[in-house]
Amino acid sequence: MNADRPFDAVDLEMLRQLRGAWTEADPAPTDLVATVHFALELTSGTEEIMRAVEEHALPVAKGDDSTRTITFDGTELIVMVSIAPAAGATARIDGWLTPAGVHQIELRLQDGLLRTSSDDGGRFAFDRVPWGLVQLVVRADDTVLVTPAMVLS
Amino acid sequence: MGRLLEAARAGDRESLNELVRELTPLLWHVARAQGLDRESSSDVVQHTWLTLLRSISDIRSPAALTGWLVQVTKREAWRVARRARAEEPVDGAEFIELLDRSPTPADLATTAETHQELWAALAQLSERCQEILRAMAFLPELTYTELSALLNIARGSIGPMRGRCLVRLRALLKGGVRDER
Repeated sequence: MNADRPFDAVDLEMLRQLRGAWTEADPAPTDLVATVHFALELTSGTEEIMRAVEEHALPVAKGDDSTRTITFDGTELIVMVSIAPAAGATARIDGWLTPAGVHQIELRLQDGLLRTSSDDGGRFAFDRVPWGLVQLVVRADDTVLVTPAMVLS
Repeated sequence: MGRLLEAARAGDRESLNELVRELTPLLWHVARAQGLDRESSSDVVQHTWLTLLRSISDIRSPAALTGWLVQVTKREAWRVARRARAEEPVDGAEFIELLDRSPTPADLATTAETHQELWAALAQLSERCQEILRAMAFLPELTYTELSALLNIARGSIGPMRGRCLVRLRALLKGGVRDER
C-alpha cells in the first residue's frame, strides 16, 4: 500500500532509536497499561463513560495527608467524590450525585466489589477502601455510568 | 494484530489487553504531543480505550483500529486542552507553565543526557516532520490513511512528506547516531 518509498534497514534502525529516545525522554507512566486493563475488565461497552473534569487536593489540618475531591461528568448526572485517607492503608470515599436520587452505587476494586446506594439527597459513602485501583459505577434508571479507574494511595 | 482484533471483537479480553499493551505507548505520545500534561494524557488514553468498547464491533481492520484510536485520542486531547485553556483565569503564559508539556526536541537537545545528537538533528526539522517521525517511531507500520488522520494532512501528501522527513533526518545524522550503539 505504501508504494512510494518503502523503509530500508537504515530507516527502520533510525525509527527504532527514535522510539527509544522518546521513551526515555517522555515515558508513559509505568502503571498506565495496568490501569487501562483494570478499567476495561468489567466494562461491557454499554455504559456511559464519565469524565474526570476537576480535581483538587485539599490539605487537612494535621499531618501531610490530604483529601482529594474529583468531579465526574456524565450527560445527565454529575458525581463528586471526596477521598480522605483513613487508617491502615485505606481511604474513605464520600460521594454526591447531582441531580440527587436513590441509585445503586458500586465500587470496583482490584480484588472485589463494594455495593451501597445513594440516599434521596444523592449522598453515598464507602468506608475503609483498600489502596489500589478503583472504579465507580452508578446504576441510574436507564443507564449505567462508569468513571475512569483511579488510584487510591 | 488482525487476529488480536478479531478475537477482541468476539469478546476475548486477553486479546484486547494485548492490543492495549501494543498501542498504548503510541496513544500516550499522541496525547502528549497535543500539549497535555502527564496526568491529563493518562486520562485521555484511558478514556479512548473505554470508548473503544462501544465501537469495536464496527472496526474491521487493524489499520482502521489504529486510525480510530489515534483520532479519538487526538480529539479528546483537544477537548481537554480547550477546557483547561478556558478555565485558565487571565494569563495564557501561565497555562503553558502549568501544563508540564512534553519536551520538544529543541529542549531535549540541551537538557537530555543521552541522544543529544539525535535531538539536535530533530530540532532542525519542521514541527510537522517531528510529529510524523514521532508517530512513526511508535508504529512504523502506520499506513498513509492513519498518518493522514493523525496529522491532518491530505493523504496524497503523506508519502512524499514522510520520505522527505526521513531523508533529511538521515542527512543531518550522517550515520552518526548509528555509531552510538
